[in-house]
Amino acid sequence: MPGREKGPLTEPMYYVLMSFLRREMCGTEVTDFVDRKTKGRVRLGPGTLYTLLARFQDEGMIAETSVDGRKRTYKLTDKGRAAFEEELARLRACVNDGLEEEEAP
Amino acid sequence: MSKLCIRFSPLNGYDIPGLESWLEKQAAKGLVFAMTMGPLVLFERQEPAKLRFHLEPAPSKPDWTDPELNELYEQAGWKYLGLFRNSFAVFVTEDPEAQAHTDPETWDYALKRFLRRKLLGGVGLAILNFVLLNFSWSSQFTPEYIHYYWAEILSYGFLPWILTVLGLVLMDISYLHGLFVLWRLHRQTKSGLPMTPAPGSRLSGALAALSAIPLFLVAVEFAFLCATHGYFPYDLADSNFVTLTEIEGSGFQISQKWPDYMDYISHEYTPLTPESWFFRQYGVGHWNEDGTENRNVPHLEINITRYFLPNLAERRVWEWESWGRGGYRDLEPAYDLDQIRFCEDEHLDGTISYYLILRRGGTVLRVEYRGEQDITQFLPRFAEMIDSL
Repeated sequence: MPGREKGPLTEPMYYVLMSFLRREMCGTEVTDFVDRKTKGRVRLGPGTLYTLLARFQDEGMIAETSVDGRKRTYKLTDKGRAAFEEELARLRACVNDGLEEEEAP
Repeated sequence: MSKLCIRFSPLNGYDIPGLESWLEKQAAKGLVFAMTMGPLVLFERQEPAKLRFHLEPAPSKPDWTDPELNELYEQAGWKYLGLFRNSFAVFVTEDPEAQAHTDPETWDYALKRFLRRKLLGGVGLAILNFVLLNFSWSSQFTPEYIHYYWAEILSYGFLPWILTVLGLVLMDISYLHGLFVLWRLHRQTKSGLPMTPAPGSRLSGALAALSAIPLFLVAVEFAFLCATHGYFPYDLADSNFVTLTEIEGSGFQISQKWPDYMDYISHEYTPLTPESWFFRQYGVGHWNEDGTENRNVPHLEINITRYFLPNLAERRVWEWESWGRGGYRDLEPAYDLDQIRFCEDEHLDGTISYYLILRRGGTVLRVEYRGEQDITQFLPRFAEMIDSL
């Protein structure tokens, strides 16, 4: 299944997709997850997160599962998982290329 | 002192950094954004404070007061204040370092999505242009008429049409500039440059605010027309109008056929058009059996217009005079009238029409009479008619 068509993910995009890998989450949980995971390195502004959730939903990478008051919960779709894995593979390749070059005699 | 304060938004409605900066300046003066009403922005008076504002472009979802949006912002320490013209959700925070958007690509996506929506909104604006211009246009608004008979066409809704054109031109310019502002923000974001207030933003903001004035007047006119049609006829018996019977004598026979006969006074006005009256009568036998007009039958036609200004009525006198083949002359001023003009016009068939134009202040009355009587004998009655209007 094809992943995201429009080039590599930005860091906030990557981490937002990552947050849904293990379970469904609402927006505030995503913020906490990214903050905890990156130890505050990646900042996720509320406007960015809101736009990303809407965008990923439009692109079919996440799907809304429930609404509880002001909270909406989302899950990762197959397309979203493919996009994440594609990006992960790209990042791995980048790291490997860097390591290989660094370790070369 | 009132807790609310109203200001005109001095910037283009799509100039996000300009508007954010303006709201911050107002807050520093103790005016905190509350809501918008058209081009007006309502502020609440509070203690002056150094606040940071963010305008979040309305998402494409129809529920633009999305609770999830507010939830995310509140969790990040922002407070939702309201909507800015249904285009932006306004958030405020005391944290000077707070950032609503931390990913330029995502912010650019939000801007592009907003720009697309506004482009689609242009279709609505084009439809509004078409509907309003068609609604207010009259076939008499030709360049010749506008040049020579502008006082006359005021009676046909020329002022609402001009106000519509003016309001729409101002609004369209402001809208097009707004699209340029958004496109510029998109370019800045894409190039990694800081967003800055757009050039010309103040001017197009002022144009948008100004456009509200003529369009508001047109809206009042439209509402008045919808409610009343602007037409208020009344019975001839209740009027003090001179009739053909009064001129020709009680035994004279008036045609009872429509449209030769009127037993009412046609009376029209709207907030933006001058008040006008019309009345006419013909004697029996106005039409020959072959459908041609019998011009030997007495005829009376009265037109009256009350203008907002005496100068317009004076101009209308000139316009009415220029209709015929000239030959108008002044009659001795009397009956508190400012102008009395009289003319006899002989037609090719030898019949004569008599024209009398009277003006008092902003009211101008034109009588067209065909018959054997001396219409100038009825000057006091026509002056009385003007009094009784």
